[in-house]
Amino acid sequence: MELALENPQVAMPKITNEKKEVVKKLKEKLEQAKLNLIYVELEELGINVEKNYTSVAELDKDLKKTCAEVDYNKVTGIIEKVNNQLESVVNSLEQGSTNAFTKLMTSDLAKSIGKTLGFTLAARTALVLAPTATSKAVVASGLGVYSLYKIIKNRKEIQNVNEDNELNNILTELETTKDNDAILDTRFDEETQKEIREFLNKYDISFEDTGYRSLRQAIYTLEPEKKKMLVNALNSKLGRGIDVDERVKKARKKLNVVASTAATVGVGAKLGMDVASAVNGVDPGLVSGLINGSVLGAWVQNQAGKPWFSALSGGLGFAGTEVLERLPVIGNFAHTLFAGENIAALAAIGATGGLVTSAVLGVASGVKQIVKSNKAKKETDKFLKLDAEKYKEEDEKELLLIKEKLKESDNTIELVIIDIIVNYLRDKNIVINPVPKSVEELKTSIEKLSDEEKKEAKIILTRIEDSLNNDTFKDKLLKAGKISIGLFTAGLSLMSVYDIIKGGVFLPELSKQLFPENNIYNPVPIPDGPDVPLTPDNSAEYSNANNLMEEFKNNDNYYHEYTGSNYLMDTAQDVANEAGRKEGEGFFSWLFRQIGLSFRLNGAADFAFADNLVDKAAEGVGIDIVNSLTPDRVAITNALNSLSPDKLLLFMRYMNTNTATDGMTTTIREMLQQEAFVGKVTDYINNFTKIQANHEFINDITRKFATGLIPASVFYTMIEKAQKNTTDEKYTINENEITDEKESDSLSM
Amino acid sequence: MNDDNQNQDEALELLKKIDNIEFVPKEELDKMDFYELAYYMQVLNQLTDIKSNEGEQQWN
Repeated sequence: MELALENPQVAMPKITNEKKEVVKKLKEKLEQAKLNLIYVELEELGINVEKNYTSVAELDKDLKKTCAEVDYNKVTGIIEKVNNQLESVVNSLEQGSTNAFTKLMTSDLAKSIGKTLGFTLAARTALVLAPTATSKAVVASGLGVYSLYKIIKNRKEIQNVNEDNELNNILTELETTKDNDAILDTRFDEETQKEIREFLNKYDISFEDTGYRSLRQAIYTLEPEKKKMLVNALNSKLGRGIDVDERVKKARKKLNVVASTAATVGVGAKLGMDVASAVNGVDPGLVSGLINGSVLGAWVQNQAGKPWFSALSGGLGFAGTEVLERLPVIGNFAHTLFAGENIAALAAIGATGGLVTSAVLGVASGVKQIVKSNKAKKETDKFLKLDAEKYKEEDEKELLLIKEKLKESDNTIELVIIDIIVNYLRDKNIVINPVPKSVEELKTSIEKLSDEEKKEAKIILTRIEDSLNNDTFKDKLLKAGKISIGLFTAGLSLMSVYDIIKGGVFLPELSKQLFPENNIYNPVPIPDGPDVPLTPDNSAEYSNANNLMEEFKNNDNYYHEYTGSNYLMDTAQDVANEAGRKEGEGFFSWLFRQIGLSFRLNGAADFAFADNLVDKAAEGVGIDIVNSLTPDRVAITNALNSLSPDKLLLFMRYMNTNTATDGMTTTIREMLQQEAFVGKVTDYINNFTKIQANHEFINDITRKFATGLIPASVFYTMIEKAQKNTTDEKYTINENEITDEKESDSLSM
Repeated sequence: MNDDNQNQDEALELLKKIDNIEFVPKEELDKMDFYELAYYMQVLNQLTDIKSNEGEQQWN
């Protein structure tokens, strides 16, 4: 940064001045931000205070006087926590984004990243375990197809969410009665409610009518086509003059941007691989950096200035930010992020280029969008607050009624299973609305579907119906399903983590054991050399073959200078000494230190492996030669000719480095220079190199691809999370509603 | 190679845009709350980083 400031060509006084101005304003607003967070926390503790304080110290002083000691201790904790959080946010912002990592990993966002990482690591395991190039291609294309499916599904979901959101917004506007800016009422009048019920009845839309909240639930969850009809009818009845078609059309316009963005996310997988390759090209030691860095952002900071950095920020950044900035989900996403402690997570997203697009799009407009979405959120909060206050009694009665109804039916598990079926069908583009509350209702809904849809529905229904009649089975099924999916993913993820820590040697070994035949990790088969005819020559005389062996041993570099095994042992000892978590060391620092160590160990293992191979081969050559040597040229020729190409190569190398000048050594050296032997070894080297290159290439690509999936899918999940937030709409009123099981599905790539 | 060129073009384009950046107007800045300011600050930090990288590359 200093360099840039000192160099007039790249000076950036404009940005620096703007930053000073913003920091000044941030500090001005800091006290109020702290107070707001403290108010929320206090409310959760059941401590209500006037919200007109101007400083935290003043509030603290008053609470000390009024609170019981036990409560005040909690208050002190809250004040301290909020103080620390926001102070560190401002500090981190003021100093740049380098401290963002710790914040990120303790935020809610980290949970979704952790989840993606889990699945991606599982996918990586599958990819690395696959034994042959073909099976790797199958696994990879499986992952590719799955990703594509998610992207397409996403596009559809985004489209639905966009249109549905707009209709929901209009419904809220229609529900709201305003006088200028003040909201007077939040519900439809009796007469309108009656008409809505008639509308629902006319279209056979049944719902458990417990009162206004259930009615609201029913209309907000209508399928878009019916919802639009209802919105039009209400708009005309209430004379609001909203141009519904135009509003929906505008929402659709956003879809093009969304669609291209979703496609861009798909490019993320390719980009992940490109980045992994680029990193390997620049510095192979940074592969571990990619694994942690992409997730942490910190690594990218360290690598800033590398040639591929701009590609990374331009690519992944685009995929990430385009969605965050432009979609209607931003309100919800920002809401999550803006929860005080999570604000610093932005820094980490920014570090991987996520915020770069703000610049491309124009900073002012980007920030304006945030401001706008925050205003919309405030408006919604006002609506919900007034709604809850004004209709408190009515709601209490209705909630009691809802609870009664649920008690009567007590079909919780049935509802979960129905939910699974409905979601399964929705994935197949078969929409069942409203969501049935019993298997009977589900059957009735299915009867109304087209023949083809019925076929699809019956497949899943038949599978599940039997189990619905058996309570124990249902419980077991649900529990086992949840646990097994969790364990399976966790198991595979841990295998990948272990593999990474072991420097990538664990999974290939496991693959070899699981699929011993034709495994790509098996040693490359050594090609047979051509049969070389030799001319017998009895003229030379040799003696003391044992001397040759001794000489071989004493002078052989492979035995004494290549101390790979010792090096591996030393390294392993070092790594073992460093393996423990040090006092005060955070989990992630420990983990990434381990990854670094594992790469060191892996390097040593590679070296030792190669060295060991040479050792063994040399030993074999030595024994063969010594055992077969007799003092005549024919015997030596036959012995040399009987060597496999790799041993012959090794022996040639040995003779080239052997400085002995006795008659036998010299003769052997001369014989080895015969065209036939040289040709045999050259062919061998060529073939071996070719096979090894292919072998290495496939393994290398597998690893790069699998590793590259990680950053790509992390972004993907962040976007999914944002979308999920949108679908978790704010109007959910049935407190006993079953949470769906989509979580595992939201894991992508 | 084409991808590389495209990435480079995009990066250059980005740097040009940063030079001609449009900041949030003063009056809007006054209206922003703590979190909005924090987000904005983060964008500025990001821009600083990009410009610093550019500076470092030119310097080297």
